[in-house]
Amino acid sequence: MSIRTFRFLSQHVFFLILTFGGRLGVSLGPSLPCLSCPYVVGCGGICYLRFLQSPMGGLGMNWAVLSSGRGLAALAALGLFIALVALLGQSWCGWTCPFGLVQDYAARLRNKLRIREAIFTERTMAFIKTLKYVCFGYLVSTPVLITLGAAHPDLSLPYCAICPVKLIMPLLTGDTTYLNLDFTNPVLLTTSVVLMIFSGLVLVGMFFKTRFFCLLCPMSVLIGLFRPLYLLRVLKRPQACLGCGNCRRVCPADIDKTTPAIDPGSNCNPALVKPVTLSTSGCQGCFNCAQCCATDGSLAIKYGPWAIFNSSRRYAARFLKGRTAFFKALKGPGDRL
Amino acid sequence: MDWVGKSGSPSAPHAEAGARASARREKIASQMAQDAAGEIARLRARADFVEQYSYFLDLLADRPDKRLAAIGKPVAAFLCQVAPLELIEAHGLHPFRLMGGHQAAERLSSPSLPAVMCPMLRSLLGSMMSLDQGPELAGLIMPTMCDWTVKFGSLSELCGLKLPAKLHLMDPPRVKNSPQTSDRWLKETWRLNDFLTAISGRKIGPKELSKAIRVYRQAFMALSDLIDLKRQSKLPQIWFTVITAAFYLDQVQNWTQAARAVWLAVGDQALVGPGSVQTDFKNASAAGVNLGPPDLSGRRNQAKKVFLAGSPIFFPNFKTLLLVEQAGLETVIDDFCSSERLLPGPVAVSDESFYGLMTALSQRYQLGCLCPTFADHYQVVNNITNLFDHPLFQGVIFHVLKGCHLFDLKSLAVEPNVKGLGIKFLRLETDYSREDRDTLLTRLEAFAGTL
Amino acid sequence: MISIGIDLGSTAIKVALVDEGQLKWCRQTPTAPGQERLAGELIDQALGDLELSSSDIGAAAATGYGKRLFVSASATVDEISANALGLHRLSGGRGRVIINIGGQDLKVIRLDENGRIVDFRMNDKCAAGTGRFFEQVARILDTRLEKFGELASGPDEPVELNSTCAVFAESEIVSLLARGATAASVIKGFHRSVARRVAALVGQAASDIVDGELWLDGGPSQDPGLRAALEDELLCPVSVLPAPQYTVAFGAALYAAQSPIKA
Repeated sequence: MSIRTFRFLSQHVFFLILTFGGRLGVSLGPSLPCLSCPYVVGCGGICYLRFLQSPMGGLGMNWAVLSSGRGLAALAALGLFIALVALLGQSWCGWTCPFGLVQDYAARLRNKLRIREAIFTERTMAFIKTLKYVCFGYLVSTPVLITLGAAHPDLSLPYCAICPVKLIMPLLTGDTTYLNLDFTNPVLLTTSVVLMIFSGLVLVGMFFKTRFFCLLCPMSVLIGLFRPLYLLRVLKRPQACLGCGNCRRVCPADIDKTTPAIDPGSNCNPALVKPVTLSTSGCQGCFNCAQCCATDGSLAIKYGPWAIFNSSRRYAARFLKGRTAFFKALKGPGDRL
Repeated sequence: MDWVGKSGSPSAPHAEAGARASARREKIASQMAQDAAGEIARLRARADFVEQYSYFLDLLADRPDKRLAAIGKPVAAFLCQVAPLELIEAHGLHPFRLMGGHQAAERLSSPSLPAVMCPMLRSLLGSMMSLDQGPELAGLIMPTMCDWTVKFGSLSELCGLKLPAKLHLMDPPRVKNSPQTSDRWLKETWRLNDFLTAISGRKIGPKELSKAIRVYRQAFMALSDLIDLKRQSKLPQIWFTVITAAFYLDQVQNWTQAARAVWLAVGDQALVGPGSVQTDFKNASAAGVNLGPPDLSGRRNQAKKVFLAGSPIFFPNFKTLLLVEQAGLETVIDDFCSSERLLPGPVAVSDESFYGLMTALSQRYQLGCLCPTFADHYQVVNNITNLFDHPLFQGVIFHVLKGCHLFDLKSLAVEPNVKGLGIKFLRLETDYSREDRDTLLTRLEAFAGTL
Repeated sequence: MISIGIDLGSTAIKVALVDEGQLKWCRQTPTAPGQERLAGELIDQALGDLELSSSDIGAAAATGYGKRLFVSASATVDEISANALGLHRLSGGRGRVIINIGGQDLKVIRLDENGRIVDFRMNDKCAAGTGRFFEQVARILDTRLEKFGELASGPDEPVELNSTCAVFAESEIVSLLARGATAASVIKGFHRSVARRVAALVGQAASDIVDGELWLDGGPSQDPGLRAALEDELLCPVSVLPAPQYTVAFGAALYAAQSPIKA
């Protein structure tokens, strides 16, 4: 079975659990490093960003509160989140995120219709990538400002209020609650208008650009803070790379490090070249790159100290040949097909 | 195996000279046929001959013009595999690579050509001159990878050769890894699409192109499996070269099937494991440096293994391959665009629109090409030294065809890098003549002694 | 146990008899049709001189371009390996670079301290700088090769030979002589031209060579003028064995002694 098949199954299983699991009593807690939206009725786990804004954000700078039971519970949730990130790294995005799967289907539809994927120039891309840091900053700072009295209390869930996932995921389950403007006060009206615009942009964006929302996702910023802890990651041996560009083409995050420039002084002595990690900002841990690499040992998926997958011509030839006959093809000639 | 063309018809006042020229042409043509038949007979007589090789030998034995007519599709000839084969295939054309491996053919063309010149192109021009009537060709696609191909048109004029089809030149950027140059090659690929649309009269879309890509992915898988057999000393380089030399002589699906048949016949109980999905915890060190495919050393016999690099080798000139064998060396890897690098590798696509497919093809063919025409040489070195900590081979033999400046220069760039790793390196400079067999063999034997 | 090395070269056939690693006998005869017979005659001659019978011969190895013609040899070895073996022993293990001037080729072999070949280069299908070139010049000048050294030691200024090609050098020498150049100055110019060609083949390797490491080898290296010209060109000391034409045959005999004997 190919890694892609595993991932495909994992995405669907997680989608079902995280979207409908609550109806069967499943709850994976409030520390999930993926966009499992609590606004979906009957969700099976909660996105940690929600917890980070409130109650965690609401604790403010008050040490008394922080050291109380509420504070300790918040720290435990944070600890769990960090542990989960360490365990699966960025693969939370590629393997579990329900909204990620929705975006993948949008891309699939685009491909079925043979419509071109949008290409952003480097400058546009750089601009878009700064937006997720802006979102993250807004998400983290607003609750603190509220406790200091510097922001309107209706902004207690500042990011959730404008998060497109909050609108789109419930819609997928037939819930139109959030598809309206909130005229209660100017603050709520503004946030609901922003929500509409943002969601509209993302809906269009994710159709024309694979995993468009991931470029803006504050969760990827938060996960990225713990990069040194990742156990699961993709490494590249630049001294094995033939520069064919397969990995870069299949990367949903367009990570340019997939063909890193090689220092001519060291590339020729393999002992001097250190493996480069590809699990950088924006990586979704999907492992498309490692599977499409047709060069023996150029890309590797590692878990802790162990390489659990090495790229090879043999694997890539079968992987890219297509889904049909994949099982058969993996067996050697000894099996006589 | 070569090519087929029409040479300029003699004008009336020179009818007698024309008759002489035509007699000369026939003589050379029969010499070429004899050389090919002789080589095939010797190959058939080898102890390691397997019936499954017959398909390929039969293709090579056919007269090239008859062979191409029998393919059953209009043929678009090309030189150098940076022109995406899939694109040609998608237009309903059969891509046929122009090759020149006959020494005899050089005798026809060399009087009109520079003394120091790529023997492959000299032989190709000679082969084209040796036939006065070739099959219909839909087009001639020439990526100008080297100085000789840039001047292909004027060289054929020098030889008095009238090209049998419209010549479409492509201009490859010689610098890789820059978005601007990749864009340029993409534009050239679109231009090729226009040319192919014009000559085939068929406007294609993403469906046709996807289908062609699938067909070539299957061919690559068949090729890749044969490469694995070679790595494991189950398929000798000479037979591998026969198989790849026949690649363009039949529809790709038929070739793929025949290659699978060889895989099943030769590779019995061969590789149920190495290099596949299964993972190898032991081999991967914590530092992550040793992440190669699993070790194959247990399967190896005693012959000294070499990596054969450099200028491609074309049927029927297998001199170098045979001498390497004779010196007691076994080729387990090569990087010839005529053998292992026949196809650039499977094309990974994420955007399945026509534009996306064209981009993917254009990038794969340009970036994945190891031709020395490109400025960056690290990929060629990487390809050789990639598995340095896996004792797959003990030495590198770099084959340089005299007159091929690119491979000559490349060998100079590669040599210190390979030697720096403690891998033995031999530069073998030769041409299509047979006279230097003894000196080459001396070198190869001495080289074998140093391994 | 006696072992024999037969070097079937393009110009001469050389035979060496070796006992316990020591050279016992060596002789050469010009190459002519019937090489196996000529070599056989030399061996018979050796056995007669040393008062041995053919049953005393333990092994025989053939080398050189005609090695496959001598079918009765128990082994064949390429001339580069034989040269390395022979010179390593004869130089007392000090040799690191061998410049072999053969009848029709030019070889530069680099050795490590154990006599293993590190690297080698050969000239390519060209007579310039080879034994053939020496013979040709001797013929034009109507002088015996052995006298080259003597003539070159004179005070004459060397002429400048523009052609490195053996074929063009012939006409150039003829016209130089017609313009009054002396044979001695032509030989000096010729030595320099060969030395340049050899130096180009040696390349970088010569830069850090100390005395006793670089050896000139093969028939033409008996010419002391060439050695002097080479030292000038390479800027390092060049050593020559007393009988440099037999190194390869000697090496082949050593090879025969160590290789398993065919029944």
